[in-house]
Amino acid sequence: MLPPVDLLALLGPVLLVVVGALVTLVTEPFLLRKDKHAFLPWIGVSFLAMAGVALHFAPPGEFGGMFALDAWRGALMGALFLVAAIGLAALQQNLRSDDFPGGEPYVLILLATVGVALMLMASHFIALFLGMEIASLAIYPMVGLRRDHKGSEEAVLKYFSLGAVFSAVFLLGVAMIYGATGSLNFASVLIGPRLGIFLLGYALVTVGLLFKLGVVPFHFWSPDAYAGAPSGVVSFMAGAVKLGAVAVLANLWSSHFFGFALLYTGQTVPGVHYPPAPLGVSYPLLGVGAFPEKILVLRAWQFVFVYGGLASVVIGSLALLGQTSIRRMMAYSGVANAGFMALALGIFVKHADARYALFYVVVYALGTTGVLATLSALSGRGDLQDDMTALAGAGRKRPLMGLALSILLASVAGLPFTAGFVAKFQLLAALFTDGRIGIDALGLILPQAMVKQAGILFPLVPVVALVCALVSVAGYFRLVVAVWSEPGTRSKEVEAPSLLLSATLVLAMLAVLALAIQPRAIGF
Amino acid sequence: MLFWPVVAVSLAGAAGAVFARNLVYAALSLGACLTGLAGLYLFLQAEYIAVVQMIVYVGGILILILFGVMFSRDVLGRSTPPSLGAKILGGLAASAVLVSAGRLAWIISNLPGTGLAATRSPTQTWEGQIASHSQNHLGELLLNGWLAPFLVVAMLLTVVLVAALGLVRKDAT
Repeated sequence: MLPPVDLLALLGPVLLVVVGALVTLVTEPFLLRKDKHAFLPWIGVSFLAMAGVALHFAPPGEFGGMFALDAWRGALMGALFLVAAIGLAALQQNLRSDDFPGGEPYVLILLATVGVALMLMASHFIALFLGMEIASLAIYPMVGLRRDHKGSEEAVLKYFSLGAVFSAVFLLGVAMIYGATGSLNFASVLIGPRLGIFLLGYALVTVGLLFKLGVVPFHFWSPDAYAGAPSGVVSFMAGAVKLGAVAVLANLWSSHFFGFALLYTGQTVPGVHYPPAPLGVSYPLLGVGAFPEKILVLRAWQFVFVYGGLASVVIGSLALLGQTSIRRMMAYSGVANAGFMALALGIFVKHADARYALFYVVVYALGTTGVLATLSALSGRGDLQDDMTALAGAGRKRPLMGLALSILLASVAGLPFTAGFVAKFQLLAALFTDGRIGIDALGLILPQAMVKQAGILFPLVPVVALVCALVSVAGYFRLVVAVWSEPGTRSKEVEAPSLLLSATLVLAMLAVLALAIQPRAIGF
Repeated sequence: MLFWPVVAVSLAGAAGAVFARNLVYAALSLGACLTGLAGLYLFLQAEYIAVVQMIVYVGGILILILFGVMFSRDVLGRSTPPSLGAKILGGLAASAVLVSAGRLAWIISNLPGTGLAATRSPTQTWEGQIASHSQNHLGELLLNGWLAPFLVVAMLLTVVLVAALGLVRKDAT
């Protein structure tokens, strides 16, 4: 359990980002149009850096059962601040080449960062929903930033309407959980006979979060939203939203199970809530108690995470092979990697070990944000050269961008010597260690005798995931080859990356290489 | 004694909002209707909700509606007869709302200890059930446990404002 701490101390890092957003907002009108893009991102990044320093000194603890901060939440938030800095730099590159008249998008990135940071810290449904909506409402207009592009309208319409629907689904689930527990805290205890409505509410909440994560079958928005949005915006949202969604899913599951365990061990009165526990730490009671619904609940959520994740891995890995648009390819890569995160959450559900999911999402967020940020420099004005053939030779003209793209893409693909390899290798190793993962979950839909038979078969889930991971490398390799090949007839002049973009990408590369050597640095 | 005049004001305001041909008059009648509702809340001993109704709906949202009407110059001062389709759709929607609200009122008034059932039995009163100090209680909640979300809601409003600003900005070249 986390100790109660002062609100200002707890929210200090987030408040610094808020102040950064407000300073950016009030400075913007006083700057000339060309100066806006030169100065505003620097204001934002300097406040993000200050928030990072403040995060280092922030005390672990909780306030009023609403927000909490601990080691993993701190690591995820640090990654979030770096992702936001890269996103600001990439957006600067986009807006400068578009000659965008205003500076609001920088403010919106900072506010979306605040939203995701609140999602990470939330241990209460109201706090979580507010964080989610702050992030979403700031990202929607950024997706539709290029109103003159046709794909942009499609992107924002799809993302906004689907996002609104799934927010409503999420809220309906929250209402049902409130009805079943009498409390909006994550770690609240079920009122005995209301198990059915609780599980239904929990399922709806999970669906709302899986949509944010982009797991099959809730992934349809992502290729269109990615392809229609400016690459800077895509780079930010691809990393930040997944950070928030995975943290919340892990946090909710452990708290939810805690409530069950308490109820069935008879240690508590229903309708009471408990102070939040550190993220990724299994509650002491998690293994305790052979209560009747344990098997059912475990199987149901294993089924959702393992098979949803496996479907995402397969569909994402295969679909990314055929893409020519790089943003579309990274969208399917996001689907595949969200699948791996869901598999890691499946491990969390079964073995109460959240490290695989949390480490994976940190590494993936840094990698994908960096790759898409290089694209903002390489694909030119209006991201019009967002195409494998148009990008030919871009790396030779801008070696730093080419290098960043290669290294970070290698991390996303999971090639050795990058943190992505560590994340994927450990995850697959854990899946192979428990070869029966997913097979037990089949007991939900198949008779027990058949499940026993299936146990003799090969470990289906890890083998399929491994094959897909290897196959997808071919798709990523095409992009790296294109970037370093001879300039083709379609390739045009590549603009110079801004100082901020180069600096933040170097930081991301260093982080990805350092985490490969020392994953323990963030608790893995 | 004041009850029926307040009801009359609410109903007349509602009727005015629906039947007025001029949008400005319609908006002003809506204001009368909302003010009447605030009076009804007072009769229900929900002082806090009455005050919020005046501040938020009459003071805030109605002014926004008036702004909206007055800024759209094409509509101002012109009567706008609704089309047949709009009449049918509006009628259907209104009757659906009326039926469900009536059903809800019926259910609530038949619950033990509330509504008409409570007023019929003199032993059960509303005092104590609805705390007459509800605003104090609300204030305490708002500034203790719910302080953090309360602050975050302000952030949400900022986000919405900036987002709206970003969306409507002219693409001047």
